[in-house]
Amino acid sequence: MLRYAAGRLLAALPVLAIVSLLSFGIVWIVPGDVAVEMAGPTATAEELARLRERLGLTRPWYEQLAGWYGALLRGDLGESILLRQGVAQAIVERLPVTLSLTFTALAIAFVCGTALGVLAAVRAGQAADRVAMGTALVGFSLPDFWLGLVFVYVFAVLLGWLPTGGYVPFSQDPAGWARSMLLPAAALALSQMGLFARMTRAAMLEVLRQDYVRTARAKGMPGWIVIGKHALRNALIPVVTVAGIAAGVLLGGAVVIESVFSLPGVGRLIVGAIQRRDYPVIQGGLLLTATIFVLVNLIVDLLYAALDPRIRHGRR
Amino acid sequence: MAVAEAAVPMPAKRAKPPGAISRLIAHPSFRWGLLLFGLVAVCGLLADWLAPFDPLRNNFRTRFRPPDETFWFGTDRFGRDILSRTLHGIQVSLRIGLGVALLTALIGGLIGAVAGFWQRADGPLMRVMDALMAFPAVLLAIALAAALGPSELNVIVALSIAYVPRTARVMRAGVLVVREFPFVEGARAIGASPARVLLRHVLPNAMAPLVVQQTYVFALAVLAEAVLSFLGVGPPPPTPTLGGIIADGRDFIQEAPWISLTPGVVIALVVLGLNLMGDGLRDALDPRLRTAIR
Amino acid sequence: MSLLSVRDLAVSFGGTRVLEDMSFDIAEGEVLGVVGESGSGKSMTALAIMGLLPMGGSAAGRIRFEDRDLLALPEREMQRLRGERLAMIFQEPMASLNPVFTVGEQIAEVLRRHRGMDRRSAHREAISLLKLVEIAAAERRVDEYPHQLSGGMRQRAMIAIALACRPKLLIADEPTTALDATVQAGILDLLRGLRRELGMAVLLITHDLGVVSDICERVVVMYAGRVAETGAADAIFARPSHPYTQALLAAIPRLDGPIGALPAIGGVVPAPADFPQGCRFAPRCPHALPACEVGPPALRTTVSGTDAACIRVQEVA
Repeated sequence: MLRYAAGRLLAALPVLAIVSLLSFGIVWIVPGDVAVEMAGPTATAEELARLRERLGLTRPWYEQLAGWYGALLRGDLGESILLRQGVAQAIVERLPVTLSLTFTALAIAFVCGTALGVLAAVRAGQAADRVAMGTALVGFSLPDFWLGLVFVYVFAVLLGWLPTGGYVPFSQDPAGWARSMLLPAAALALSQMGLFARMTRAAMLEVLRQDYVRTARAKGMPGWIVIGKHALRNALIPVVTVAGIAAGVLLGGAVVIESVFSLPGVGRLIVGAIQRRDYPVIQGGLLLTATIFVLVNLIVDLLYAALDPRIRHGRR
Repeated sequence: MAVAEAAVPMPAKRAKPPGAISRLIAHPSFRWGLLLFGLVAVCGLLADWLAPFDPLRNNFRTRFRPPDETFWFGTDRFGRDILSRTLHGIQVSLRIGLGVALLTALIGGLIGAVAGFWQRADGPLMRVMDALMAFPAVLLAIALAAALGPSELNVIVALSIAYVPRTARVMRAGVLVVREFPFVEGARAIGASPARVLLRHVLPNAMAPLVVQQTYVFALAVLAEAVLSFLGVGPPPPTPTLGGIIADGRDFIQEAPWISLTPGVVIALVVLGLNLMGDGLRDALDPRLRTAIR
Repeated sequence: MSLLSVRDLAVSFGGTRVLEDMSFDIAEGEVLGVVGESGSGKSMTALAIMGLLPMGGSAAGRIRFEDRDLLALPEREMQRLRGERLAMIFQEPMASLNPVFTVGEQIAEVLRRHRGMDRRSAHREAISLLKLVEIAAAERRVDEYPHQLSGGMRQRAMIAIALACRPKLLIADEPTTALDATVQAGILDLLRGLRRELGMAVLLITHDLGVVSDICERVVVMYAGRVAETGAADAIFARPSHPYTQALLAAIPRLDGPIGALPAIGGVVPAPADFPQGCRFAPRCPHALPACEVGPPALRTTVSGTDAACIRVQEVA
């Protein structure tokens, strides 16, 4: 198990190296002068020169790159031009919001999606199957940010049940946190719920045909244990592997959902930075989300091994 | 050589097995998907004739009109007709979606084919693809589109970079399977050059998964383009975009919910149609793919 | 009184009958062999008794076990019987064990469900069950996963699961088919010993007549979804009466017999949809007459004391 974990970690390192290179490289594709773009057309030559100095644009590219990697190893992501704050600090401050949103959505998507998938598989070919799969298909065809607006209109404006937006930290008021998370997380979750439902259905149909499911029934296990324990534990193995991918998609979706619900998270920080051409924040934000994605997938790999003893023992 | 070549049994050169078209038409998912997508697409293509008003002209006397018999879907804060703007927005969405689907097919197909065919290139190419995949596609596209500057072409390029790894992976997986087939061995044995083997024998037979995947990429690109436009890094104004119209209505969701409503429904219909078509294609072209991709 | 009594059992999928007119009894502690080629309906008989027919299958007739009619029993009651008084082991020991649970967990589960044992004592009992089925180092094996065991050990673990609650009847569906010859003998020895030790009845399903002659007291020979011949094992092996049984026995190579060409049976078992009107073996039977094609022949007692479904049994035997 330990060797497996170390192996996965080692495999992630080159990916992380390329990820950081790509994050830094985003300034290279800006056509024209980055400094001019950032400072705007009204900037004086002196202001531009100062900005270039701060961004390190006066140095050759390899020195810039070496400087970026050197700073990275010290945990330094540079300085935001507009916030007059360290990028790392700005991101860390806003990270709890984004992580709560992403993982609440992931939990909703996973739980509802697998439930829907199991239902569809058990009732395969019947009306319940068609309704469940129709829901799944519509789920990942809806634009999540638009769905967020619809939710705001229905549940906040028309019914007045939940707030239209804003964030309450969990440590301050858990109930308020839940109320502030419910709509954005639900809007975000729907698309990935559909994906989980489809994956689960396919995996369950495969598993329900297996001999060990018949063994469980021959042992006198009641139907819900046969399905919920013996079949589902096996069917979840392939479903869990997509959870890592889903987490990435949700992280991307969180960027725009945060804007819709005025949640002060990393997504809004990045969107703001993009609109104001604050490149250090864009670079840091890209690097950080990709790193989270790689870490989540590492966790998923470990979870995968925990679910499947054959992997733990280095078989298959 | 010609004699030897004739002796090696060759499977159908085209990706689609005989009867694929008829199976496709018979597939209910594909039929419904084509109908939905086709309906919206035709409306978009005929926007110039169908739109009752100029999508760009402001008219302060008709601001914030709720849906009525003149303005079927209401007007926005500049008094512009939502229906007309939506119809023109469809055009933009489809152009971008199709552009992304084609561009990723070309680049991703090439990368995947090379990675699958030449083992030496596989490691480095796929590590780069993994790294690209590590960025949430939408976020990467937003950053790239912003960095490249606002234009329709740049949006296509940004989205293509974001979605190319998926296509490359699918293509690679297909090539890995096909390269083991006996007829590929046969072609190699009679001395065909690697490029010829790849182009003539491997690629045509690894095409089916790619076609299915690109239908889904089309759908994903339409969704992502809406996000970009919503955040203001899509095609620059005054081009009406579906995401842009939703953004226009965002601050007036209490007073004028109809502004955001219509374009969102249209996006959902296009994407639903494409996803249904993708499912139908998947079943008809290769039943073994049922769970493998997407 | 018999432990299990099956009368006129029929199994159909949709409109197709894959099994009909199946009747037999098993006494307490008896070993009954059900023999036939694949497609003869022997596995369907077993699954019908367990109430585990695949989707779309339905059973008719009567299956009396102890004093209950199993076909009339609600699913809830069946669940209480399965694994408790009625147990079953299958052909593929690898596929039949759940890959994500340890062997011990899979045995303990039965005890916890039917015996209400707590985790600890169920685990302890699982170890002694593994010892009962003669698995070495049971204390270590109990916490291993199926993929860590050999094929023979997996089947032993399956038997341990089946025997956890000391059932009255064990149904063994081709328990040795997927195993190597040496391992096969070990499993058969184990089954023979256990049934003597525990006094349980065994319904052994197999296509292997060698296995039947080894441990069965009585035999049911099946062909194309019907009983061909049934009776005491000794009688059937000494003097088979039904032409199909004769052909089947002739197909076994004997160590003490003459070396030469094996008399094979011409043709193949028909699919259920193509079952002939009359005697189903008639198209392949060397003794068939036009009368054989009229209707399915009833069982009639033969000189050797068996019952055979053949109208010419007096002349043929």
